[in-house]
Amino acid sequence: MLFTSWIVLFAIFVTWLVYFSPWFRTRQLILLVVLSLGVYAYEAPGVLALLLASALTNAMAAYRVANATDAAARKTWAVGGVAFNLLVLAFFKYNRLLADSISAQWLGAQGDWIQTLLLLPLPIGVSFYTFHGISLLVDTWRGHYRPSPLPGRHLGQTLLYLCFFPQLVAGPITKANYFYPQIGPKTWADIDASLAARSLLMGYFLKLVVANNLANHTFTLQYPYFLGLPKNELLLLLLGFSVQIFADFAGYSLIAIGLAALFGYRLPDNFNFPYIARSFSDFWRRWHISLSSWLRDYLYFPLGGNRKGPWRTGLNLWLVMVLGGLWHGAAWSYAIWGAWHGFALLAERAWFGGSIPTQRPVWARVGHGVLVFVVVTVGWLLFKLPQFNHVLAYLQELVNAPWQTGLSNRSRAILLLSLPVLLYHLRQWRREHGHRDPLDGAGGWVRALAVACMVYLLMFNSGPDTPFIYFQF
Amino acid sequence: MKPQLITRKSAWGLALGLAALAVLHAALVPRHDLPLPDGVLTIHQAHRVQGEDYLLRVRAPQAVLVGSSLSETLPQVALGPVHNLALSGGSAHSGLAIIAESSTLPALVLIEANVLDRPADDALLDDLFSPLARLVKAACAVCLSRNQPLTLLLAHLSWARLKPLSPEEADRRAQAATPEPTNPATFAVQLEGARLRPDAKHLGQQLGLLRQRVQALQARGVRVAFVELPQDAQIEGGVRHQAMMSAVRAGFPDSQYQWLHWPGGAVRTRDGAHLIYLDGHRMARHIRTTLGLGAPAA
Repeated sequence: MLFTSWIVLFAIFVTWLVYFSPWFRTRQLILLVVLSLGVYAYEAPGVLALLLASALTNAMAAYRVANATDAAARKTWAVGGVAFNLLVLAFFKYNRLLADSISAQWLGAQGDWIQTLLLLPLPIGVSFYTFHGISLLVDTWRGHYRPSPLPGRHLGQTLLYLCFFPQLVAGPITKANYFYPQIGPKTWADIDASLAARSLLMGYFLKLVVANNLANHTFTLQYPYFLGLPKNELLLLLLGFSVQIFADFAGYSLIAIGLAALFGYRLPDNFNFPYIARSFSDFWRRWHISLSSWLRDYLYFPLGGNRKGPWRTGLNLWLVMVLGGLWHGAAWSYAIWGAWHGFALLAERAWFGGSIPTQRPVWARVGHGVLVFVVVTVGWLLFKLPQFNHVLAYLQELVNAPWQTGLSNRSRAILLLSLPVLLYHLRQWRREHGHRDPLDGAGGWVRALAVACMVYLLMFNSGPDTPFIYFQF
Repeated sequence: MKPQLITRKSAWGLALGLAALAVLHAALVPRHDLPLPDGVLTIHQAHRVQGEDYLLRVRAPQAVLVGSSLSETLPQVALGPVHNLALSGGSAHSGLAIIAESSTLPALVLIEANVLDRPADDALLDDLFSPLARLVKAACAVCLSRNQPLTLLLAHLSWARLKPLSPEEADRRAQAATPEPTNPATFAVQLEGARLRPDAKHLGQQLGLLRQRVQALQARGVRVAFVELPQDAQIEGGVRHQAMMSAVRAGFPDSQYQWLHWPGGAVRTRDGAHLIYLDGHRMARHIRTTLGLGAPAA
């Protein structure tokens, strides 16, 4: 699927070869836009028009915001543009919920037509490119970004910003004032080869070896297949899913960063070893960083942030988390997931009074970190089991199930496949605590062996093709 | 100055590391075929292993059974010369495509009629039929799906604790074990599915494809028969099973095709759909006897 499809990779490779040729130096932007639209059309041809309409509307609105002479017109274009993006997002994301709620009788004679409209499939990447559009409009409105005065150039740049293939369908969500300044002619010297190689190797390893294999080994974490399993297996299934969702999304993000680097672009980091977070607030500085910072800049701050007293700060925080949860999909389970994290953040603020002390006993720091991991991992149940009663059934089963002596082969498989992610985090934990990077040991041979293991497992142990989890969002 | 991406030392390290891993991997491949322990393979891996085994290792079986997990549970040891190519979570369509692609054909193909609305798994078939991959897998055992490094590592960990049993011994123990009771939760899910009528258009398309596949095999001299596996009475009475069976029977009538059924008596299942081991054993022996493929041990 997309970055694991040979056809897409071949198209990217051919484009990359001609991209840096002198003849294309002035046409690189067009080439990238055509490639991006082609890649998107390959995956979702039916909704390409929506993407183009979104890009054109945002380009026009941002241009008007920047160039309108009076303040009222600027505001109208900015608000109208943001409203357009929110409507697109709300309609395509929540249409099925509406379709289920509206009765055919209420629709009357127009019922079939409206029902068809309401049952349109979710366009992949809509959550991401509408957020890009909002970022463009708000950054322009705030004066953080100034569109090109040439309408044609601005249109081309906006098309690239919204459609750039590495980030189009699942992020990282890039802010306008971060991306636009990078647009320009690129040469071979603009490629950060080290970043590209590291990101692509680690990204494909996490996705193909860890996530795709775990996706199959954690298959039984579905109702009713987990019923009757022993407690240790239930726990390991949940751990496996926690590792899988990280490996899947972090892997995808790294592949996106690596591919963008090959074309001379730098996308923001999306993950920073989230499972060694020291607190819930630290977790959200490490997990899906681009979404967290987007929500902070374009939702939390406009709501008042922490400037309006502790109660309002708490409410803002919780509201942002619930809306962030709902952003993932039209289901109450996503809202509950957001609320779950919101409550955890609030509890932490209430306990520590806004700032977590840096000097704490080891047991307190480790205990806090473990608590964060457990709460986050339990929260993933709401992603895995869309029906809330199935989540309750799992938790009930977890409480009642007996322990089993020894480990089943499935449990061993989950542990074995989780090991690379554990080591990946352990290495970073050591670095953050001032220890030497273990990969630098034995004169660099450890690093070479680690790379060899990853390459070998990619060649011989990649799992079956499994859709990226975040594509559905 | 940017650091050099690949130094001479790291290139040597990488090459030596890859060579060492290849040697280690080859050492893990068992010298003799051993059934992989339960839980080592995922469903997807199991499909690939079954497909590769059939295409690259099986030599002209007398008969082949294709179908879904309902048939997959029938013990091979009781089926004897009937090769079980049923795919758990799949259907007869994939199995038939694999048979059609193999170099030698069986004398008889037995098609499970219960689940025929699931289409062939194109991703699986693309993987199995890729000429380059087939060539490499035929020449190099470490490239087979059953010999993936992590799979072998898990299998060796399991074998270190419990020595692998011969198929006959494993069968003897399974028959002696207490029959597992029906799981009410999974039964409820099966029952829910049994109440859903299959999409008539989709089923019609799949049966049309089945007809093409059957005719192609018959044209190559293969005899085709059908088997209806028994399920719980509530599942069999459901609209799904009724609609499925009437459509299949209309397309492939008794007058033209041999049909096999449960020999009679109470049916015991794990979840309403899948037979418990003892009843699977009984059904397998019945198939073997009815097809005249040797008298199985009781």
